Amino acid sequence: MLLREVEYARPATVEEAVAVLAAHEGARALAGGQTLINVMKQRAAAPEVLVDLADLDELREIGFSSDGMLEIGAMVTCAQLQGSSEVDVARPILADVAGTIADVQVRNRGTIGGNVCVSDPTNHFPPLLVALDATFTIRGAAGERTVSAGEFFLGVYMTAVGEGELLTKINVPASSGAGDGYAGLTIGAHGTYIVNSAATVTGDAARVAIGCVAASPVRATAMEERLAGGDYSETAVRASADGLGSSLDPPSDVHGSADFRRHLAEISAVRAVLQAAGRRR
Amino acid sequence: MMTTVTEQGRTLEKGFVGQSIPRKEDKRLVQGQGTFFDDVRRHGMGYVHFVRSPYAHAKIVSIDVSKALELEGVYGTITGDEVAIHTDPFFEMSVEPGGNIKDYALAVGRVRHMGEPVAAVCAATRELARDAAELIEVEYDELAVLVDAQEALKDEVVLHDDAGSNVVWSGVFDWGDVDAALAEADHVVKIDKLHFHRFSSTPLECAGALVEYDKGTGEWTLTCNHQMPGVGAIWMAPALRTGIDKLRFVTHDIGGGFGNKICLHPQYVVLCLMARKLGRPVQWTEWRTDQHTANAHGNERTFLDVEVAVKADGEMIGFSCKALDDCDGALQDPNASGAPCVRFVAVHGWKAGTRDAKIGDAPLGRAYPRELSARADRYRSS
Amino acid sequence: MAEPVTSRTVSLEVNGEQLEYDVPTRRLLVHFLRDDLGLTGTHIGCDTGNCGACTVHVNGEAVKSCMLLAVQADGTKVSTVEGLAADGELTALQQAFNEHHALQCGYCTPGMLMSATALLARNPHPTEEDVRYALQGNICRCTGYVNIVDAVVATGGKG
Repeated sequence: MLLREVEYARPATVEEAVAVLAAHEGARALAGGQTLINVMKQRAAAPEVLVDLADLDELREIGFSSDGMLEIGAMVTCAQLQGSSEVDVARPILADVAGTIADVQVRNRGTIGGNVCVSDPTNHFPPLLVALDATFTIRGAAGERTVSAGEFFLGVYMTAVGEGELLTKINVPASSGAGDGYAGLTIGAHGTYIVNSAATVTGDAARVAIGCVAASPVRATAMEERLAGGDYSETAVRASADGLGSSLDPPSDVHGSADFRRHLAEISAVRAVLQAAGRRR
Repeated sequence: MMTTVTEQGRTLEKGFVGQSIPRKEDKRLVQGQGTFFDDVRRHGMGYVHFVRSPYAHAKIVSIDVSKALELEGVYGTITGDEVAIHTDPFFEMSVEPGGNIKDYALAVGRVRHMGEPVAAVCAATRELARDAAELIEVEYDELAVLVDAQEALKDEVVLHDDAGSNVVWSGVFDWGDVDAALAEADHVVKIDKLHFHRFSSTPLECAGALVEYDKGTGEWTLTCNHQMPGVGAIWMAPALRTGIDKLRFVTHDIGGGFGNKICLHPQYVVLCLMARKLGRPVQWTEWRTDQHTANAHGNERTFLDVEVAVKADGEMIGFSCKALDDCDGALQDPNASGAPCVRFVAVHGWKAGTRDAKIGDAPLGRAYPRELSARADRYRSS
Repeated sequence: MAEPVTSRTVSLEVNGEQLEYDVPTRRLLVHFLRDDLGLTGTHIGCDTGNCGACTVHVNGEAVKSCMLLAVQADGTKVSTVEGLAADGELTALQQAFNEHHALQCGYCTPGMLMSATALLARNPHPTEEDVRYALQGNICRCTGYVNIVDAVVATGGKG
């Protein structure tokens, strides 16, 4: 509840932010703080320098790139996603999922960038962004680079954002008729996920990503292969999930055994795909 | 017909019964003008943080407070050894062997639950007290962990040498002719084991106190949220070797209690000692994590070999069982009101048989020890 | 200013009053409000950001003041429960809380009022579902929530 002493910097530009992050080992970017401040209160994390991104307005924008992708600044909050007409038009699942994270107060501050950079296996956004085939733009002293979702989530609390670097934006393809779905089981009505699944379905292909079962989101590739061809009847979707559970090696903890998570993975993947199939336009 | 004008300016035409009466405290509470103990300040006050055991069962080998005392803004510390010198153990409301237990406000020589406080530090700000607590070095020798009441019956790991056993009380409540009831029953429901896990009533406001000591009169003033201050005084005064007239409790608004603010006398005794030792008001606000691990828990109970004699129309005419109350590593419940204050494990055998007993009205209800608010989760291993 | 520091002067508006204050960078907004400014109406009920008793408004949005550093509130407008009733005149919501018996111990009440006030500002006539969704981040241990929801719905219903 009471933080250790910490140094605090409030850069005015992304370049300044990147410079401070690079100059201080043990510096951490502070976005919404809904995770970082919390762990600092427990003294489970004690960065030496906090680099507050609050003044970096360029990271708060939602728009469209020249190639029609939805472009979301890393500092965009869940509340902003919920209220964005661009998101509503291009990829409403982002707003739907954002609206299930914690509560109003957390959503008013919590950012999509923060959520993905934490890379907690139980977070809401990582499997969704993997299913959506999002790309992540990272800026450092050496310049800017863009990585795929599969390259971004490297493990528990580990992403492709390195020391002295900052995630600046996430690009999501506009849906173009694809349907998106999201399903899982939480601890309590709006708590942390025990297992979550995200699915994107077009006329003849599906992408399915499962969270909470490994260090980073897992693509259900066998299921995707069986779904290629476009039969999204309930029978077909259920059949496509056969063997999904046994292909996974999820953890056991107080919230669920490994077997329970395998079971949940199959059910939530099926539900996500059915939901997605039903939402195609 | 009564006419009453309330504080909110409403005029009631009838009497109070059956009326929705607006409360008199709402006006200040909806404006954030309540006075909860943490809202109160005193000039020169210090903030207290407790150092707590991370182990469920361990010997305290040593406590070194020197680094904490070097930190600027730290006013002082207190350890279990000092508590053992300056206070007498809390009296136990229990027959032997439970009554033999020596129970102090801080762990003395040994910790018996994760979260048990072993030392406290007082500093100029909340943050500094927390920082200083990290500088207090406690060396532990871990001991075997005991987390199950049934295991405890074996007395392989005995928590209190003074008691000599983990079974601090056992007895049989026997009424009526149970065997006849079982014979007469249309059905006998048998349950091998029923386990009720412990819980915490978790009031939204945590416990705490602001304690001042008057050197001239020897009187302590505790601005706090104790639910039963009169009882708290009775528990604290003998320990502090003083009279209950020297403990003045001032309680204003309290953010819920539900039992969790009854057993605060150990923490309050520590605060009283610190206020006297440091010559300044000292304040402690419990953290939620500490409330969960180290404040009172509702009874954890195990019922074994339950047999219930039932008639076809559902009337329960008798039952028999063996009941274990897990009272934790150091129960300090002053609320046992006449029933033996059970510690560690109280083994009750109940047999009750009577045609007239109704559910909810069984003679059992009168003798069953009331909900025992165990002070802390002593048996959770870390 | 991009140089890291351990204390900073914050400039912010609190309940309509412009303030400047030196704070340690590690101090949480809730402790700044309660201990430095003496605004003790905002309460602390947990240490993990779950209970919502510390809810205040920052630039009109409901946030948990225990999940924010005071320095992060630099340049913002902060409103607390003390800022609701102007000159002791209770808002319709505060009165509804009294009429609907929406408080017992009163500890969660400031947080509830701030969350509900923010809801009513953007959705003046919320349904019961809207209210429950808006109050998800506020825990009450006394009332069982029903009267709180009723009070907020009733306030919206009065137009």
